[in-house]
Amino acid sequence: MRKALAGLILIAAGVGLGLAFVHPKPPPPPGSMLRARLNADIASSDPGMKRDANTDAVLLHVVEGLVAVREDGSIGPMLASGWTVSPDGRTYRFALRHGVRFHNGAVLTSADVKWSLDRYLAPGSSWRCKPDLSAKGIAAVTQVRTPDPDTVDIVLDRSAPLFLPTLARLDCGSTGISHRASVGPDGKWRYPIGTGPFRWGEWRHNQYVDLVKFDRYQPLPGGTDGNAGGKHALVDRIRFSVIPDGSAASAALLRGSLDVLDALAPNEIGNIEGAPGIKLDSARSSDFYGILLQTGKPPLDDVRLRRALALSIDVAALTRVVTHGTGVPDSSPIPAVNAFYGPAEQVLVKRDLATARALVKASGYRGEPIQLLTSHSPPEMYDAAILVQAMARDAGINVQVVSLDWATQLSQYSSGDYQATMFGFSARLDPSLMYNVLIGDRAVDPRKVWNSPEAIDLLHQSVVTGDRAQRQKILDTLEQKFRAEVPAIILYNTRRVTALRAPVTGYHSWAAQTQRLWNVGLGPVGSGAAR
Amino acid sequence: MIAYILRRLLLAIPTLFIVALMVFFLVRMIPGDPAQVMLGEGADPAAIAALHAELGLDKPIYVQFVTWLGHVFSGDLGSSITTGEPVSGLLITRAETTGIVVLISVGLATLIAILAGTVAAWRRGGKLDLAVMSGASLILAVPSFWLGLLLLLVFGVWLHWLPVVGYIPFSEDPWRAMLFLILPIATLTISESGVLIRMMRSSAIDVLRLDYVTHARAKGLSERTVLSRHVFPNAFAPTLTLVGLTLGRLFGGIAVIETVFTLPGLGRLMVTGVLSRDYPVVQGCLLFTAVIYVVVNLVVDLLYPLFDPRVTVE
Amino acid sequence: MKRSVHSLLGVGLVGALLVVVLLGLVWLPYDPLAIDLDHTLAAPSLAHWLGTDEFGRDVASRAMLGARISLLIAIQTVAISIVIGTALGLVVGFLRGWTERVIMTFSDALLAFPGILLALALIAVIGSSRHSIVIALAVAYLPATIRVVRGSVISIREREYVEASRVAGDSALYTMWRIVLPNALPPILVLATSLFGWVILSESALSFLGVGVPPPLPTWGNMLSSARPYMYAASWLSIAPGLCIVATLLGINMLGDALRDRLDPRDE
Repeated sequence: MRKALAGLILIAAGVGLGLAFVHPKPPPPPGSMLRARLNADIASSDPGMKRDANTDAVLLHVVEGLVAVREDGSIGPMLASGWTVSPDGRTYRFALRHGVRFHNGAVLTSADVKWSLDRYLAPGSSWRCKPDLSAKGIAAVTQVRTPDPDTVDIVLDRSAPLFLPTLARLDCGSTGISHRASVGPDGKWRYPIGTGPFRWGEWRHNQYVDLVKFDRYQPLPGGTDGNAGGKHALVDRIRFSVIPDGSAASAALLRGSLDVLDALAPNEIGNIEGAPGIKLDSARSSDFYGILLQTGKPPLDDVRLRRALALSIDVAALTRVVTHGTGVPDSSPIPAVNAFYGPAEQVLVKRDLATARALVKASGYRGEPIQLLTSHSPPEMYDAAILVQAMARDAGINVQVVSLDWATQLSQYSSGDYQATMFGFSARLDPSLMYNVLIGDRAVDPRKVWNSPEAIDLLHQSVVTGDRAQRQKILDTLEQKFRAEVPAIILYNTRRVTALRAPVTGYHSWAAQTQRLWNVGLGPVGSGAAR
Repeated sequence: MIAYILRRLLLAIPTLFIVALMVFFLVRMIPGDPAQVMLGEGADPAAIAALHAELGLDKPIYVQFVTWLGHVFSGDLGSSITTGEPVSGLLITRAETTGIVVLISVGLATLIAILAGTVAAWRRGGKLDLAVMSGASLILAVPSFWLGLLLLLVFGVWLHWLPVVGYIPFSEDPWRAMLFLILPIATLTISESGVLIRMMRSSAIDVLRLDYVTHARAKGLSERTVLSRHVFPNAFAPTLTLVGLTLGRLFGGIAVIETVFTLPGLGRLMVTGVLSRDYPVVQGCLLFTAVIYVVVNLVVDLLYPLFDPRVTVE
Repeated sequence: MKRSVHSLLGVGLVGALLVVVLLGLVWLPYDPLAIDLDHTLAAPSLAHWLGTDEFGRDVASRAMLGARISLLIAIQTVAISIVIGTALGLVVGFLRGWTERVIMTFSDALLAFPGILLALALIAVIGSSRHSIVIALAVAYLPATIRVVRGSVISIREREYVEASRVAGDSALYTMWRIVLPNALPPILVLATSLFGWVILSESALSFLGVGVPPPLPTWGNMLSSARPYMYAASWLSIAPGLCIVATLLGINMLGDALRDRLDPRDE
């Protein structure tokens, strides 16, 4: 009888083993390999279509757009060597760079650009920037013309100073130009055949994405500059491994199974910092995290209570604890790294419990519970909610933390069905785009928390003006209104920390929060494919 | 026998139908929207609506259910909303990882439990019993993810004996794959053996008191023979039930271990599916787990008479 | 002899636990919810014997309050699950036939459901609270109880004394209640004590996924899961709730074993 059981177990294990030998073993990839980490699998290989931040980061190694965003947030050339704008601001003429080749060897022509743009703007396309480039957005694209193989004209229905920044947006895949062979005969997307320094390798769902060095890449002069600048593939292969668990990723780096660990969670830094053979690189992000308030529902419809809540929070201490000293306290929706972060934006709201208590009293608030939604993505949001609750308690405000999973929180945010919610907005390099996530008509879009007509008007003015000083003035006015009305309480900008193994050279973090592995090499120590 | 098996499988159909029905409505009852999660915080409402239409999520829920059920009957579990991969393919590759880890771990844990439990019962009250029971109680008291992290820290980070992250499919290179699977298997074996040891000891004590054991001893059979021929077969039944339950539970539920050791298994597939509201994936996972459950329970019930002669399969 | 040492240890551990819980009702070293951002992640000291957590809250005070909440959740969950599960398992295992078929169909369907999914769905329906956690976990563990009880009942009903009771003309209810149940109790007790541990650990996993007991109330489970990132840097954060869980489960398991030996009707 015991033999029967042992036999059963052996058979069960044996079936697995036996099946295993049927498949041959593939040879390991040759050459040097840089190993990086993704905290979740990419959503698709189609730039700007089905996407998230990880998808953007990976695909920006493979595809490039006409223009690209520079380190300082300005716009530089990429596939276009230059451009001119017609006097009415409606026609953009791009001259294509010579000698640019796709990964399949084809030479880049204006027809390829038109094909990609038409595909992005086609009905049924889910391209991230399509709504922005429509009549309801900043300007609609009315026509894409190809006067000759090296020239592309894009015609808009109105002048739009934000047109080039929109084309360069990372979350729109930098409007990457792909070869038409990226789409199969059935009209379905296969994989991106772009012009980037790395070509598409292998995508094993939930395991890894491999990119391979593109030997015929023609770099621009210069070094790493945002998503623009000179790009050189210094390794033969990049492997982005999907490692969702932060502790597992840290362990992998310490063990030497990873070279680049991007987006190190703040609470993991203590485990990594000071470890031998590991160095850290970081940059302040162009994002913001804070509390969104529903100003239409009692008791938060009273501006005095909203201000009391803002004054009850010690933003500097909260930021220090929650981000483990990496974040930047910030009371403005404009991130501290932004060029428009001027004197008006820099003033931090200070904790003032006496005023807060007086405001609570004046508002007639009687301790009704205020539900504050939060989730664990990212974990700092959860910690921040707990601190806000404890700090608000000192001012006599009864905040109750409701912990949800991200999908539920997102759905409540999208429907406006909450009193207060912790929320973060990923990096947007333009200040108006930052304000845009807050300002709008709530009746049309329930996600907008600030629906004052003046704010909507000011935001519009800030977009149409081309003059920098004028724009700063408008943004400053907006800032003052924001602080008086408190539709949201801004807490901090994060700092993106990347941990690197010592042999990794040339890695630079930047405000846009994506990892860039071009111009990144593996130094002499333990070169390349060391395992 | 074959008629019995067929009847049991037939009887499983209502169970599977209830599972299908429950999971379909349950995942949709949870707030959150797959299109929203996929398109992110600044998504255009029109793009979300378009994606809904593409995924068929704009249709009435009963229509969606009937459509899905129809596809399932024709062997099509649909495609993942997030990655577009066919769910059946996902399940097969993921089940390979989870299946190997679970089968080996539970097999090892059962062997450990049979030996330790029987011996502890035999030496009931003695030092050996005390040691086994203290060990089993300790195991029960330690969270498995905790144990996993500890093993990872010791064998992976400090001693450098085993890899800490990564995965090679078993079907590609079984020996190197095992290198990545040793720690998860060790963790699971240890944490599952606690309850099995206790159950085995408890029933072995019951059996040791029965007359035929006294008879067998009186006949002059060695203690070894008494334990292996008379005690074990008669005491194994309740443990077997528990082994069946454990197998079923682990097939759908080693998400935590899979997360700690970054294994692409069924548990992680299901949890990420639930968290991103990837309905077809969650439905497929649950249906698959339910089928495994039915099969495991059937096997347990078929084996039951072998160990408890008073019970017949009918 | 050894057995009494074992049960004495069990009684001692559980007794100590009860003392801590009762003491926590009247006195705690600090306010367990009060933050102190200047003293975060402080190592154990005279002022804070178990150190402070990432928000400067006193770990000892939180562990004491957490004891109350964790135990309450575990007791409620195990009670619901065992009472309903035993009743159903008894009926199903004893009567068999179509009753068994119907109940087992539902039970098996439920068994295939992961606790996370149940918890998320329940929380969506009845809101995030301690009760939704209890209900979700009780429902999740119910089918296992039914199966274990049914398994032993099927085996017990074939024994001579059950046959004797039946032949003597006892009603089915009497036989189930007075003859079968006492004999089925030992495995149920073993299961109940194991369940106790599983519930405390599952609550930890649910907290980890963000659907546990609503913050800032501490449970050992959510203390343990939130201490995970500081496992290397501030190990005391994990040690306090970890040791509490280990000690409690050890005590309860030992007590369960002692109880099992006492209750065993055939013990000479």
